[in-house]
Amino acid sequence: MRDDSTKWHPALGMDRHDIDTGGVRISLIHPDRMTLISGPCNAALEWSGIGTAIGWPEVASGHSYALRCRRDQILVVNGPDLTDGWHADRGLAVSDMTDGFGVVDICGGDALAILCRGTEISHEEPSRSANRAFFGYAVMIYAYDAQNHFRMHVPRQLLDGLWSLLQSFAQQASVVAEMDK
Amino acid sequence: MTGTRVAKGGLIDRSASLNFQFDGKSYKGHPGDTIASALIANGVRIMGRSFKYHRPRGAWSGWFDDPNAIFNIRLGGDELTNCPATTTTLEDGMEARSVNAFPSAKFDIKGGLDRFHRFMPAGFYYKMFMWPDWHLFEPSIRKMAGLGKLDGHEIEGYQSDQIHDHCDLLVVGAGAAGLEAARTAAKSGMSVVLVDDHRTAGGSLYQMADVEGVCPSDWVHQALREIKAAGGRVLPGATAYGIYDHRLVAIAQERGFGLAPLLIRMRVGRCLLASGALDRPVTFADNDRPGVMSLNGAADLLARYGVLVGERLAVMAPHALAADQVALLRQGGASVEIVENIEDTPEALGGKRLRGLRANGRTYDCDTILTSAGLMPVVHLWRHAGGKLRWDDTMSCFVPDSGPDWIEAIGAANGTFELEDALAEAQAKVGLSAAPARRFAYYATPPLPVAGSMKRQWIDLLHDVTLKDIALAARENYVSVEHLKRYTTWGMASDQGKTSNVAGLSAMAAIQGKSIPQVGTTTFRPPFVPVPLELYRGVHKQQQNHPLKRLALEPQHRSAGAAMGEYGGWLRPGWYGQGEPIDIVNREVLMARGRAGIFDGSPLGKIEILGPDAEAFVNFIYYNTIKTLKPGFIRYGFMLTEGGVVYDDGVIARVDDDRFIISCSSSHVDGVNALLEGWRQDGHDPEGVFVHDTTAHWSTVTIAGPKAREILGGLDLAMELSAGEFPHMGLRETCFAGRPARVARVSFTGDVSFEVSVPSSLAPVLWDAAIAIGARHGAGPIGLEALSILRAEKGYVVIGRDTDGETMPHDLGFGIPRLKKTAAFVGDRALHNAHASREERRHFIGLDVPEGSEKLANGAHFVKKTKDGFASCGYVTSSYDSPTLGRPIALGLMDASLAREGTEVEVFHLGETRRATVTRACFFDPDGERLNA
Repeated sequence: MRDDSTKWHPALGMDRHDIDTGGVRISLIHPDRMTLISGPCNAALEWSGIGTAIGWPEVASGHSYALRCRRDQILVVNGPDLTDGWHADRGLAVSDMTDGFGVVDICGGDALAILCRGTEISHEEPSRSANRAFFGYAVMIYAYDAQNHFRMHVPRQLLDGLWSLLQSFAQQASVVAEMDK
Repeated sequence: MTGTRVAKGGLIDRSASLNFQFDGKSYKGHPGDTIASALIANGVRIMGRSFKYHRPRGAWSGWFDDPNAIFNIRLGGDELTNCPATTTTLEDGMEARSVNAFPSAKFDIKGGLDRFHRFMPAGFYYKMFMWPDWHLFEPSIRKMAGLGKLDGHEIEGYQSDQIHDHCDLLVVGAGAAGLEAARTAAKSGMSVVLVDDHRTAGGSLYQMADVEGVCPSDWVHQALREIKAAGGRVLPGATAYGIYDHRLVAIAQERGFGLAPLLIRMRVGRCLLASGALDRPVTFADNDRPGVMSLNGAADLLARYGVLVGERLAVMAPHALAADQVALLRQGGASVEIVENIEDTPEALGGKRLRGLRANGRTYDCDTILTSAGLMPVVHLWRHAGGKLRWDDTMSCFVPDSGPDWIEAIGAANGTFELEDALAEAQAKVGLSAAPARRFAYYATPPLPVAGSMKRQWIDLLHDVTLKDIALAARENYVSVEHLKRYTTWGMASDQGKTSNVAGLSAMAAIQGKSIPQVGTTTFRPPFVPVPLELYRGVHKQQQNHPLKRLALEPQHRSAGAAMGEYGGWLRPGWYGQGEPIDIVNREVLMARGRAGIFDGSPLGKIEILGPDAEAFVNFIYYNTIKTLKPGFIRYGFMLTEGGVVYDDGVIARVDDDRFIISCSSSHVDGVNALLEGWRQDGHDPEGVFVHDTTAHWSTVTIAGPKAREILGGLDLAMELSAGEFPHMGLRETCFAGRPARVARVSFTGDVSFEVSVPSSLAPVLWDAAIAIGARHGAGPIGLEALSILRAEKGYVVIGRDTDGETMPHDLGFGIPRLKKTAAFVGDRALHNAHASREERRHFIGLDVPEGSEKLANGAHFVKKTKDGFASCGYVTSSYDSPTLGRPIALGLMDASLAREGTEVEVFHLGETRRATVTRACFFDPDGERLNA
């Protein structure tokens, strides 16, 4: 029987201070709702009232948008309140995932450099899906609102590990930026 | 006479001076020097001792192909081990120590080992240290092996940054061909990255008087300006050390001493290798003496560092471009004698100090011997990428032949050694055109190594492999190039055969009367040069090495004084409170049995299966029949592998006709989800069934024990809780604090138990309420340790602990679906093969020990006597002191022939044999009265 309490930093919870290095600001945001919908994507988007699902490097914007996970699955952010379960009339499966993801907002000149530390990603290599492996974490990555502004969804239970990783990456990017000056 | 600094020339900054030490003595150098160039300039020639024989060695060359000058270097309190002196930039205050020598390279106490060289040929390890026992010699040999010593001190902040990058064209090497290619490509609009392992680009251009009519430095600077102006990137001090699948090139860029290099994983569209060429050494007697050097290395030391390696040079370099390098050395002030038409085996004269060279019956008075049997293109990266090699008889070297279409070699790396030819080739290759015919006909006529001389002739300097060793390998029939390599260790040291590869092949070819291509080549693998292990680690350390999943309720657990530990990939509470852990755990068990225990069951899987085919799908996935499960009810089930082995157990809840929730083991959620998705997409209509892993969205508070119903009632869930209205294995959907909640009546303790699941953001409210209400009933939180005992008392299995890689469901007592389920399911066929049907399978059993005995050890084996001693008939899988029962209990897997209730068995562990009695694998409430209350 082991007590490793002191070997692991206490989980920070869903309220935490931003990481701000000057070159990048990393913060946790809290969408009102996240809904996983599986089935024909067009039907899912129509039902959600959202025009298109974002992959990479398309840019999401506004309060409500959808991410394409697979050819038959989207994650709707701040969409309508839909009942969990199978909707036979629409051929769609719905699950509320509002508390299932931590959503990290990454913004600033070093933002892309941080992403490039965890995964191969570039604006020249498009992907229809927002799903990626980021340093081994299964996440969704997409651009939000502007260049050098990205968001990352990670399963809630791995948020602390990812946050700590992003902190390391932000520091490294800051050091490199300083050395390159 | 040894090395000196010439009055002018080189790329060093002569206006500044750097102080450093080597083996305890102080020296000076200049910015731009390497440690090796600065030492040579100071007249230091002996820089190391060879690996096996501890022979004095000097630098062979001025860059990465030197195998001898390896130092431990300390600067400002930081120490790095095994730094190549020829590629380590000199910094002020460095303290360098030769490795494998004591007290110094010049005077090494083990230098006398060389006298016993006859007893230490290649392979002597396998022959000499056999009697009486190899293990007697092993500690001493291990102590002597290796180079350098680690001081155990970790450099603070020594962490490699690792980034992903990409480009249209990567050019490796910023010599003439590389610069020309990068310039041409960048101007054409390609995204170009040019890397060079030197901090100053230019390759061997500085050996020339001019390049296209301008001085080499100006030509290089102009090329770099144009590359950058056109948007190209230049990475100095960056070594492309490996090529991997799908056009991935690994680049290590140095950041300075004490700072870990940057790892760049570069995904390329195309790659041009302008990695240059090295000198092939000439093999002759005592060719390892300090002062025997590469001709190209000497020329480069003069051109880049203004260092003349000796005053009286003898040159053996039978190739077409040697004359230019000889002329450069003469301009630098050396007197040079050329040794041509070698007909015998030359011999270096002298020991620590070179006195001359004997060749063709004549003695050449010299202090330095420069050799080059010809130029060898640096083809390592080409081979990493899968490119083939072709032996060119005229040039006497391997050159790139056919290979992948995205990578090409140019310049010296392609055997195009002459400048104008190289520039023309570079321009053509960028445009994917064929290179114009070469105007310069390079040739080399290397003397073949001749075995039989009295003095040893070195093939591999780093591992002290001589021509005699090659001949020995041939005599012992290790003639395959792969055997030759492993038997002699030729080419296996940190230089990976850069100077020994062709020399060794040439030797074996000469011995066998074959051509070099007939002997073959060994495989080239990354890394091209030694790189620190840190380059691969980066942030993969400490908590990022294996990040644990964290509970939404972790702050609550820590506030309650929980001892946190890893359980199935999650950080979970083991027990609560301060004190002796076993006492706390026992109290928690008794509290759960007497009143109730409240624990965090959030990691349990909550994978939803949705769609019109959900019922058929779940029925296929599970061993147990699920299609008869009604909405609002839950069934226990096994998920099998296709081989019929139990992979996971869990409970399946049916919400309605088209919706199921699979609650699999906490540690298996990711694996189960992947399996479900795999089966969904392969073998089922993916439009008829969908898999949603909602585990992260829901947190679960479990209340188990006789008072569970009262505590649950206090949570105001607006639902009927009586046994009649809410029987065991039932599911109810309701609300908590205005948000959806689910309550499953399932038990892992054997008592009445309710799992309440709410959205994770609401979990703290639920937990705090349950704890407060529970306290009024004498209940409280329990951790995983208490839960392990509670479930064992009831005989509930933990997959992977009470099962092994062969356990099938009928071994656990669940045999009916195997006999009766007619619908196809995963693993069904394997359950009826001969292996699954044999009688002597291992069954899941319980064990009692005699009264007053201690508990059995986990992993203890059940044994039976055989004619040869004992044989194992199974083992203890779970063993505890049960606080509930006041005695030890155990579970195990036992051969069927013994697994009958009442059978006495012998249990063996660490030399001790005890007795135990087989019993039913359920020690608490076997009739289920408490469970169904």
